[in-house]
Amino acid sequence: MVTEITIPKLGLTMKEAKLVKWSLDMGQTVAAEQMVALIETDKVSFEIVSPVDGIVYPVVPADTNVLVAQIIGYIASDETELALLQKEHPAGVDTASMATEDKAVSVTRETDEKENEKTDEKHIFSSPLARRMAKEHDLDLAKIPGTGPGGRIVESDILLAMSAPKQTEAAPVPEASVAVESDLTLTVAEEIPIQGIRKLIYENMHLSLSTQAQITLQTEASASGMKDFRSRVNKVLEPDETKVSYNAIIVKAVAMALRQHPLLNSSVQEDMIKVWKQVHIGVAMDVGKGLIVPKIRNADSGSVVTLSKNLGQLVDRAKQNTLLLDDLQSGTFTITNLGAWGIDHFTPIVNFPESAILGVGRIVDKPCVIDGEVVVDPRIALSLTFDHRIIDGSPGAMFLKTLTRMIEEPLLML
Amino acid sequence: MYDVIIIGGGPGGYAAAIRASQLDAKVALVELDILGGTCVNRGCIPIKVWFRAADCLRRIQGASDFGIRAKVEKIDFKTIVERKNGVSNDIRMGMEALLGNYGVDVIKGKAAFKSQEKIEVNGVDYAAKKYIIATGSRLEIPSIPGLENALLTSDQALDLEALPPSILIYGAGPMEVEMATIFCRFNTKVTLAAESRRILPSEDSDSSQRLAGALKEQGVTLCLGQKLVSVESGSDGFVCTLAGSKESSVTVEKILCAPRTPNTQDLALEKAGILLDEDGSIQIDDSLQTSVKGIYAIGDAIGGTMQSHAASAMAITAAENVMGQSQKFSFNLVPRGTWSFPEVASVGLTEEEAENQDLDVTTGEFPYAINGLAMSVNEMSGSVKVVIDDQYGKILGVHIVGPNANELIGEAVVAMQFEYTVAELAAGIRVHPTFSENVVDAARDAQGWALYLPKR
Repeated sequence: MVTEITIPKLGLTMKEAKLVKWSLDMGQTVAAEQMVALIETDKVSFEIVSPVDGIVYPVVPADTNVLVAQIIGYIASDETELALLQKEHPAGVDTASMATEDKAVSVTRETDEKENEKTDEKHIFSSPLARRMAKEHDLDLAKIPGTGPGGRIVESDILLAMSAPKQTEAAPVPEASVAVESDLTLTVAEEIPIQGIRKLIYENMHLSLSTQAQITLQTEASASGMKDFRSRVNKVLEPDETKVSYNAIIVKAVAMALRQHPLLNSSVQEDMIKVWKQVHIGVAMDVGKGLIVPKIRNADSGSVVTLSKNLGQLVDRAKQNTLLLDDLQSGTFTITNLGAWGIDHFTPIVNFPESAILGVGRIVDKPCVIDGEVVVDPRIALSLTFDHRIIDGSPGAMFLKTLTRMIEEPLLML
Repeated sequence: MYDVIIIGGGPGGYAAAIRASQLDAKVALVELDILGGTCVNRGCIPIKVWFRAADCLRRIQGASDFGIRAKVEKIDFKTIVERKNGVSNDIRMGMEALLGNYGVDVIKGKAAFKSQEKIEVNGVDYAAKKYIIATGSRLEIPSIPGLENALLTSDQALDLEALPPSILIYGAGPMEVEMATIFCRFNTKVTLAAESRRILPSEDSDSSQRLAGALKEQGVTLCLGQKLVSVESGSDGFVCTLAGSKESSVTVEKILCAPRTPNTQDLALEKAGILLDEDGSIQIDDSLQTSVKGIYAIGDAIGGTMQSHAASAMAITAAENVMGQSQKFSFNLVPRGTWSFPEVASVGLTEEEAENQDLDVTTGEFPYAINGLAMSVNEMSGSVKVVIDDQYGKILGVHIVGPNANELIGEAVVAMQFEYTVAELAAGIRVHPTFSENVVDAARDAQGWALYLPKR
């Protein structure tokens, strides 16, 4: 029996994804649960595995946008079925020989392109001549600004793009001229396309700063109370229970402080400040594929122990690349911790459309005056950025004050 | 203070006034004579009435091919002239009403610049923030010894209530070809002489050749590559001496001569600092602005092919730019049209022009002779020719000779405006049977797969 490979729905709102690559070539055998393709949405990368043993037959080429539930290929159970598939779907994509046989498959590729044009929600308006020229010169229409009617890309735009220096082709530099080459022309060492997660961060960061009036308040708290609390809790845990992390305690403290200062747990929507009932705290993390911010749901209601466990799971899943889109959506406040890199204070950027973000620094022993005595005290730097359009300085400061007290005396969280 | 004063009330000035007014400008339009300009009063429109009369006669003459034998009793030229005057008058009245409707102040009189900001009309000063010069063109009769005695201007020709038995038409442009077509149909013996080596010299040479053949068939004598050097009065009429590779002479009753020149004198343009080219046309950039910021020029006054539709299209660009937009005029999208039997129309580059630009050119051609409608209605002379570049299939030009060519060229203008390649044009569907099928078939021929032509 032939098995279809379709694009899974990884989250409630997911509609499309990018088929990044096929990990197996056409005709290769695959075992059940073995990865066949990698897709990427705005937020996550996801490995598609084969549900059965069989032979891989891709029909959609890598590097194209695909819709949820779209069939991207098949798994044939034997050679006979594979032959049948080749008959039924002659537009199969030979991933192994695509680079060399570009010309041979150009007819079928053209039909694919037309299909993709229809399915691609972000249709790029361009004149037929511009498309033809772009194809000829291997130009990406998405990167060319259009100046024709309605922003359509026209011939002159392509000519302009063609006249721009082609950065991918490193010009051969004559050896002798290297030393005398003293002009200020920059040469490109590497071109990194802004796409996928990077594109999302790229756009969101700018959107955040260009939309909100962000202000950052900075303070320092004693971490000794938090340290005591953590060791006391961890001492009484069962051996199989996850140890409580500092991050979990900070998440809990933030969630409880937000209960007292709900304005910081809000978003602006259409001229209204929407104060959220739920407290979903995002924890920014970088597991090597760019910044992602999975959410801890209702962080104000669970215990520190549960919360620590949930956080641990999110980190694991982020590392395994198995986060769902839903893990990444609908946050109300974000915490970002740069303590591990020795940072104290910084100015975090609000994770739009939220209205506030807490930047957490390292815990470091410092000389500190307590009761007139200079003593060594573990200190933690806190930086709160918030949207001054809707939150004034004093409510921001008051939130930070409540948070500081809870970190210094975690019992206040109860 | 006006937002814009437009000088000239022809098709250009009229359209500019309305467009500027639509964009909330306070507009005045200065017109020396009557509204409508050359187009409505002495050009396109009057000639079309005459052309229609000639076409009626042509169809009656051809009706016997369909079993209808009819005799023409009398051709009453007075009726043609009256009809022509009536149509021009109706259009003019429509223009006056519409300008009033848009609140445009029409100032009658001759405008002259006093500075970059001010003009004077009939001794009164008017000021505007911006100006659009749309003064059109006028006839400029070359000084050839003896010509003035035999001269019939195109203006006079359109008012004739009796046609001369013979005429020399001097020139090979659209106007001259149209006049030759009409006179010839009404049995005037027509000799068309011109210095250029082919008729419609700015058209594709295939178009010239096809039209030359058709004109000869209709009885027009062509004397091309010949310069009119002198005109002498003789016993049978005026003896015209033509000099070329060899000298010849022709004796005619009248000589029609209608070269036009931009109407840019007497406007005191120098007082505003507006620069002219050597031929008297106003210098403009691609936004149609003159050498002076805020002063624009459109239509025949900037020279070139001098066509009504070019003027009214430029009017839109100029008016929008006057009102703060930054539009550019697409000169390459201005179609050209000649009303002859058959009609000739084109847009874009001719094959020769394209080759002179060092482009690798492919052409596609589809004759009317195998078009179903053309065969059915017995109008089989002509063809559609498309000129494309080899690299991308870009449509560089389309050249149509044949019935309805002037309507049909609109297809090519749209295709080029939206940057169709030949592939999109070739993939088109048209109603069958229509002449428009020829455009699609010519595109297919350029791609090497015209279905209804013999295998290549």
